[in-house]
Amino acid sequence: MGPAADDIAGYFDNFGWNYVRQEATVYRTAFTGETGRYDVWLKVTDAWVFFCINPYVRKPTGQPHGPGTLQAVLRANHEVNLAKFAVDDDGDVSLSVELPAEGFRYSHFCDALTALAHYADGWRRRIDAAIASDRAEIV
Amino acid sequence: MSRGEPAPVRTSAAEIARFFRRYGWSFERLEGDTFRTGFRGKNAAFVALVRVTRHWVVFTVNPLLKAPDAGFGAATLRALAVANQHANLAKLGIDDDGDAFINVELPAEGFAFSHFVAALGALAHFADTLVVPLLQAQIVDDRRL
Repeated sequence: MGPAADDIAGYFDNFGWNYVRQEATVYRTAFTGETGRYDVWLKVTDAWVFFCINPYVRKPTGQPHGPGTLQAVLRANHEVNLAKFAVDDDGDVSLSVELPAEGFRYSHFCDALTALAHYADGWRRRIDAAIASDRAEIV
Repeated sequence: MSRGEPAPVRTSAAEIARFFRRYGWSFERLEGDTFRTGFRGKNAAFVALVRVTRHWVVFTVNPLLKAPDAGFGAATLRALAVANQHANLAKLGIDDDGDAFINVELPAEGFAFSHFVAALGALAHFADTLVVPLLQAQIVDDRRL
C-alpha cells in the first residue's frame, strides 16, 4: 500500500524542512545550497511518489540547450544514484526522483530529498559551464 | 525511521533470485550480487543486468545504443535527454564509453516483489519503446555529417 498524501506532512516534520501543501496531493518545499535556491515539488499519486526540481536550469533565451549541455546532463545520469536529469517539453533541465508509492516509507523520503539537494548543488557548476561552452561555440 | 514504521529490511541477492523465479524469467547469476537476464520486445532483443548493492537494486540495459566513433550527435543527445522526462521510473544516460544506457534504480531497503515487477516492466517497456526513435535520431545525425 502506498503512503497517504497526509503521511507526507509528517515526513516533512520529521525531516525538519518547511513545506507548503499546495493541493491535497502536492507539496512544495525549498532549500538553499552553495549554488542557489531550489524549489522542490512533491506529488503523490496512486502509483508513484514524485520529487522534482523544475526548472533546474532554464533553457537559454531563444535557443535550445546545446550538445555540450545535453552531454553533461546525460553523463551526470551515469553518476547520480536514484535521481535523474531530463530535458522537459519547454526545453528546461529538470532534476527528479521517482519512487513507487507501494512500500514507500520515511527512509525513502529522506533518500529522495537528500539526493535532490546533493545533486542539485553538486552538478550545477558543471552544467552551467557546459551551457557557457555551448554559447561560446555559437558566438 | 519514522515512528510507527516497522524496521526496514534490505533485499538480498538470494531474494532477487526468488523474485526472478516468481516472475517466471530465466536468469544467470554472474557474480554474487549480479544477475543477467534477457527479453525480446516488439522492436529488439535486450540483455539486462540486475545488481544488488548495500543501498540499491539496479536494473540496466547497457548498451541500449552503441555510440558511433565520433560520439552521439545533437539529435540523439536531445532524444535521450527528452526521453528521461517521459520514462517513469527509468533513466537514460551516457556511460564512460560514450554508449547510451537505460536503468532503473530503487532503494534496497524495503525492496519488494512489486518493486521488482515495476522495475523490470519499466526497463523492458522503455528500452523497447525508445530504441526506435533513438535509432531514427542517429540516422538524422548521420545525415548531418
